[in-house]
Amino acid sequence: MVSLSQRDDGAEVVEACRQGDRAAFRELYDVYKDRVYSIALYFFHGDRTAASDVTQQVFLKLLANIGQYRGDSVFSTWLYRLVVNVCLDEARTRITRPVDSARLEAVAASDSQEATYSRLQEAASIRAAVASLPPKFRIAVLLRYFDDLSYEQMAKALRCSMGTVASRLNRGHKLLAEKLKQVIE
Amino acid sequence: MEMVIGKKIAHGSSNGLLRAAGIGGLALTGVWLLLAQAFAFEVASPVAAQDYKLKAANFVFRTTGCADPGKVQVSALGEGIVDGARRSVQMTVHASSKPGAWAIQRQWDAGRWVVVLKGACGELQAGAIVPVREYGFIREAVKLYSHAPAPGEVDAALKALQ
Amino acid sequence: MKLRDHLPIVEAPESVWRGIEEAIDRGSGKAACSRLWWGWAIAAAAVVMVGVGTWWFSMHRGGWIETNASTGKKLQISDIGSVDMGPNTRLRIVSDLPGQHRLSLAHGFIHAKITAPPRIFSVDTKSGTAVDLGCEYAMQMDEDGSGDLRVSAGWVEFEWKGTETLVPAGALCKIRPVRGPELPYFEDSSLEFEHAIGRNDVASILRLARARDTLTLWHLLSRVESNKREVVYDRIASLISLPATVSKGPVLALDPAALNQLKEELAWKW
Repeated sequence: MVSLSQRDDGAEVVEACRQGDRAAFRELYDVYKDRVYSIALYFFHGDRTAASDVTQQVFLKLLANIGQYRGDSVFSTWLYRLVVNVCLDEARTRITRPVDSARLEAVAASDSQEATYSRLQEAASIRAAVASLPPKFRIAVLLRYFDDLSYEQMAKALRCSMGTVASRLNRGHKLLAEKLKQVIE
Repeated sequence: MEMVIGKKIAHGSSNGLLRAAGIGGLALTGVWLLLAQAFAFEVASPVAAQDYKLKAANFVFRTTGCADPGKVQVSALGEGIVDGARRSVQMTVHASSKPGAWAIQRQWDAGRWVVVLKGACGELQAGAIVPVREYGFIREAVKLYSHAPAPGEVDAALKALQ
Repeated sequence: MKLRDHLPIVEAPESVWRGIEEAIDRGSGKAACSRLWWGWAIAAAAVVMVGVGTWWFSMHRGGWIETNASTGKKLQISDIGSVDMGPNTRLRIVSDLPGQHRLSLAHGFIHAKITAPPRIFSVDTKSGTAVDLGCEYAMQMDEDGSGDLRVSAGWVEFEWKGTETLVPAGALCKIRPVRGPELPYFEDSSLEFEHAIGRNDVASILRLARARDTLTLWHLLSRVESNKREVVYDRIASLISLPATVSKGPVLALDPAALNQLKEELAWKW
């Protein structure tokens, strides 16, 4: 998938969006919808309803605030800031539910049909471990390893210093390692 | 040190004391040898050099354990993997305002990189492999050696970054 | 292990887009569309503002600069760097003379990136002054004077009532009204260590400290009573092999040169 920032016409799409062009907004949505949805899905323990709600909120906020995007940062970094805010806000308001490993396994089964049983189990364990991290560590881990954001991009999306990014990733790793033990190599 | 102790006690003491002094001297020599630091690199954040011109460096380093610090020679090579291809870049080593401390500033593209340090103090050698990021370095992954890092060690360090 | 291998991208269902369209058409979207128009107008104004930023900066010396709940602002500080203001932030330009650029942060969030020699740029707060020694850092301050300072590159000195707190990259320092800066600590230290600092629990701080946490212990030397300094020094010495050039006696007497020499040695572990 080529990100919007890598496309030559990316700036034009954003500008058209600002002008109220719905087709341009749909194009923007199509570029990022799966990533935003997937981050929300893993953040909310495989809850597809929550992931859909969050994805809608992110893009509605994007629509409402796109006038404030001044092009002084990579568009995706600005978008991920919205994702972080919505995920963390939602996490605060939602009742904490125990991790539903059945939902996470359903996510795994739908797209790993040729995987061996042990690999499916490993994948489910990893997803459950990620889902059980405290929200601030969880979002940091997902942004870094799911979407390969640099520390600088993550610092902008998370509105913190790169030192804090490193700290959250470090603690996230430690917690994951404790939960997974033999699963992590 | 051993000789001096033996000589001082000999002037008016018994054989038993002489033997004790000799044994003590040997023990002291052993302790001295243990305390003598091996020639090695030490890698740290830029604050260690306290040189504002190097504040943007990825890391600073110094050597320890060289009897004549003025004769230490250091070099740095960047080894990386960019888009699946292996690359090597000779690094410029910046001397800090603090004698015996140097810095490495980013001289590599995106990708996964380590900086391979080699040091010499006469016949003594030291080495280090420092995994680096766009900013800073990966502290917990730094490897120190009493020899110039071997190609296999560099390969292993790069592989560990994947 | 790559997390991405186990966290595949999942396609968003089409119902998500339908929900967005419905929201737009229902009227929250109509408001969004009108906001879109206003957003364009604001964006255009912002471009003009940024374009004359330096002029505006000078002309508004002494006046307050504020951001609202949904906007940030970037200030260009002459040719030495920039300060990003977060939402709900209020600050004042105290001085913008060559060689001395000074802001006063009443409350909010700033992220400063400065390339100047040390002590050219500083930020006053109710609870002390952050003096830039050439670096990048973020500061969050509440209206009561509490907040924190996090350094991501270089190092910052936080001055308060004659004391100086050194905060290097990777470390943070919490700031309290009346009490000023707490002990700085590295963000990769353990949670127990962080909590011990918050409680001012010296015994736990010493017990939990790693070699890197000598940053905290070095600052602790001048903050404990004189009869407790030796135990702090001994803990430092147990964590890091100190050279003969570092003398215990002068350090315990808080001799500035001795403390500086100790700091220079410990900094290799920070």
